[in-house]
Amino acid sequence: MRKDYYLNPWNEMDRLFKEMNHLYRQFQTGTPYAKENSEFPPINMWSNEEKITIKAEVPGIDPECISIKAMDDTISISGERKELDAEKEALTYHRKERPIGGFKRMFKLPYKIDADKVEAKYEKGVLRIVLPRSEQDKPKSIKVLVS
Amino acid sequence: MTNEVKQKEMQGIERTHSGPTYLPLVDIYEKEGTLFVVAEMPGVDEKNVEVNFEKGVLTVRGQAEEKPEEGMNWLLKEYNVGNYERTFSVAESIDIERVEAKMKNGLLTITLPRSRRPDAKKIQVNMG
Repeated sequence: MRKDYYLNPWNEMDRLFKEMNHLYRQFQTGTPYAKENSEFPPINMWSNEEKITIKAEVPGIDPECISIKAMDDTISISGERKELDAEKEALTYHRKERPIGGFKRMFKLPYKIDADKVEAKYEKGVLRIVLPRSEQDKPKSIKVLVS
Repeated sequence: MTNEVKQKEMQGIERTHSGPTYLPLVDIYEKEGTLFVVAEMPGVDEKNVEVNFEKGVLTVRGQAEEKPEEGMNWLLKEYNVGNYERTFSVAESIDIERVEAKMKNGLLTITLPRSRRPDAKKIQVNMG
């Protein structure tokens, strides 16, 4: 995935452009807009020998509208950011900064995980996914026998 | 951030909390005489939200807290956990008594109903 990203020069241009806008806005207002130069949803990821933990900021999204798919050493998180009010006709927007539409993010993990034991929890607009390492993939320590 | 806040900071008034402060993304819309302000504040508990409406200035603040992942190494870091703060000036006259704030799924919704005023009187123009 990373390799593909660098194959297209426009990706890097696009990223630079976003970053410059971001810096400019920060300079103007003194305060950066929350996480605007990141793809949606922004992700934090941790790992150790046993498991991988992923956190994603998905405010205001119904947890039932988020789909998480894990297989071997990949994970995808997808869903849709919907319009707030069902009665769209009756309202007038003064400001619209929160984007709407579908999103999808895919990651290659450092090792194979046990897809049956993946746990996901949604709290205060933050999604937390714990992916335990697959038993077969865990490193085994081998005892050296002295003959 | 308003100039007022900026000026106060320049006068040496410091924030009481540490960490980065972000402007939350907002949607502001109006429906049947009520103004709605919706702000994204992921990771903020309803206990840590402060909404203040005074003299036509609406201020929202939220403090996000995060439990550290013990014994884990970073693989990817795309966001920082911090505080949210943003100020808006509301030109319309608002019924302060009926202002409500609600926090759900990291989304703060503030309801600002307009004051009930009698409809503007129509003035008849008489021909001279």
